[in-house]
Amino acid sequence: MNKIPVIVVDDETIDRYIVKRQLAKCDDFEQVLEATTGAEFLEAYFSEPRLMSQQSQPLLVLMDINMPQMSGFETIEELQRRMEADSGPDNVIILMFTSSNNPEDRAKAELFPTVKGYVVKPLDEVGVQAIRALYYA
Amino acid sequence: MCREILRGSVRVADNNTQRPDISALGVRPPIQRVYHMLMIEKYRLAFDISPVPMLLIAGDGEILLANSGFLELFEYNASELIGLSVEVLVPAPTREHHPELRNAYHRVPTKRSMGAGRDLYGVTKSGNVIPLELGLEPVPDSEEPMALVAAIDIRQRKAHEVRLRQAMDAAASAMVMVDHKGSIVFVNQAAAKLFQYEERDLMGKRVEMLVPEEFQRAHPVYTSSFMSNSTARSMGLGRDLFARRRDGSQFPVEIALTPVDTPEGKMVMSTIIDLSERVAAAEEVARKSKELEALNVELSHFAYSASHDLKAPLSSIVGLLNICLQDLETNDIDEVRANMSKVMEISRRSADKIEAILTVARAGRDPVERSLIQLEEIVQETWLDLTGGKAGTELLLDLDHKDPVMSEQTTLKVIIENLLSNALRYSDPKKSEHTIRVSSRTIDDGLHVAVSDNGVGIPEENHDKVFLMFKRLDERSGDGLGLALVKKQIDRLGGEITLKSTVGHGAEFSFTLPGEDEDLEQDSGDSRR
Repeated sequence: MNKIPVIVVDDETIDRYIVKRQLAKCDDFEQVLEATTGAEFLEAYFSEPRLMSQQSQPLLVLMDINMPQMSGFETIEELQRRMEADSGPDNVIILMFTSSNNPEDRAKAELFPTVKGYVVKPLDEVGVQAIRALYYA
Repeated sequence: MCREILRGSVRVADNNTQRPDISALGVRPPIQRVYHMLMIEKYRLAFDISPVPMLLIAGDGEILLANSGFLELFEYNASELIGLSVEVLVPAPTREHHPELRNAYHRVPTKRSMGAGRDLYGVTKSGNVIPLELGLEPVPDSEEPMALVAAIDIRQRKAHEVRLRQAMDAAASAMVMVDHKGSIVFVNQAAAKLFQYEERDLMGKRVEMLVPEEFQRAHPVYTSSFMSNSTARSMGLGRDLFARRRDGSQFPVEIALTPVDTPEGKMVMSTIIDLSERVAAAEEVARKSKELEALNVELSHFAYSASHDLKAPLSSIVGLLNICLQDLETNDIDEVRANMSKVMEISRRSADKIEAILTVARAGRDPVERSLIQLEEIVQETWLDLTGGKAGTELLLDLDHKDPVMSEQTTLKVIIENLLSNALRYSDPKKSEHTIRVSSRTIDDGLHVAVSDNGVGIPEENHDKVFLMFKRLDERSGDGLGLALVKKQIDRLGGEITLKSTVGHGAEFSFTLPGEDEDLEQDSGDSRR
């Protein structure tokens, strides 16, 4: 089985580190890519061949919500807008990745067709299995 | 005998001394006397049965006949009055030119009431001045100019009028009565006061002088349509109405219209209620509820942000400790040590942040001492704290306000510190020189301070967001609390903060601090010393 390509979009270095460490223990994931802002992620998603849809597996995006400049939600809105307008790559599975267990945020996440789930920080072994399950759901 | 007939039924031969105006009568030709006699006899019976006080007067003003009602009213005996000039009955101010008026009447004699709207008075024998309504009628078939005068005592009517007037003036509501042509025929004191006029400035004028300019043209149309189809109703049919004061200022009113049928024709009484206070109170309630709404939004925003921003570091700590446990199992002590340091760092930052949040939350609750402050001192001190004396940025001071200023020293320091720290942090690396300018001036109600920089600037779309709590707009943002705190403090002090910025050119945060009245007066006194 192919490994899952994954990128974590989070402004907090420590949170990205925790994701890298936890996912590294699980053989199902490729080496974790990182973006520190929404803009950086969008730039990478629409230009780097590595992330594009020709890969056999959809790209897994762990998207933080609370980031300076573009929030996670704003980033997803922009992503979906550009996917529709440019008919660009659309092979993507997004999981909200946040310390907020806020019902408002959960409700909002459900409105996005590209968002498949909601994972609450910090990421641990159970969280990794949850991500895997959501990805294949 | 002849004389008795001529001068009425009572002898008058002995009253020469009681005739003040006898000289005016002159000497009559005999034919005239005969004529008078005829007329006296003709009217005597009618006079005696008339309930209305009446006089017959010769063309030269001589009183030829008076009935008992008239004599009683003016306190004379017939013998005293007959033969006197009618001017004895006219009060002093008018007496002098009364003969002139009388002559004018005889040139164009018609049946009419005397005085043409003026108040008329008569003076009795004892000197009482009484208000009268006087009817004048030329004696028909008379070759001599003679006139019949009917005098009606209107003391009671006058007293009623005064009482009515007093009642109207005592009313709290303003009342304005307008005739069918739109002229003001009555105003009470409340109305005069409300519109800032004297009563005499309003009487007889067009009612449009009380109407806002934009409605003055249409108003006569409304007036005449109300006159032609009038039932009591309120004016404006639900629209907001405004009235106009003497100085042209407008104020909200409610007006009730009541048609009044008078002998002078159809009129309309308008009762006007000043709604200024009511409207102001409603506005105050609206303002308060808007304020509460804003507070609610702030509170929910705080709750939302707290769930993100206060929980996030704890999640990171748990995540890191979890990894530490895993690393301990594999004896990777170096990694554990590194991550433990990170945990401590996050914990420390969190503690600081919570302290900062508490500061914002406390702002406005704890009283802060007000004192005379020196703005320049605060700016210089803060600058030294922030830069340690070695800044790549130049600080320019342009302080032009009148010292000293009364305010909260510590609060102002917090404000200045945050604004300077932001200005330092957002310097533009593309520019060779970095400057921050602090300028101040005295404005009407206090102090105006501006902190401007030539840094990277803030995009237009973020101008509204910079003051939001926890809002971090880019990597250089602090904890997202600084400007929220600044705004909250300035709001509390009754001032305002505004942002002007163009990307690439820099940003200017300027704020006002209103001085407290008493303190300000004292300040300006000090500054003049």
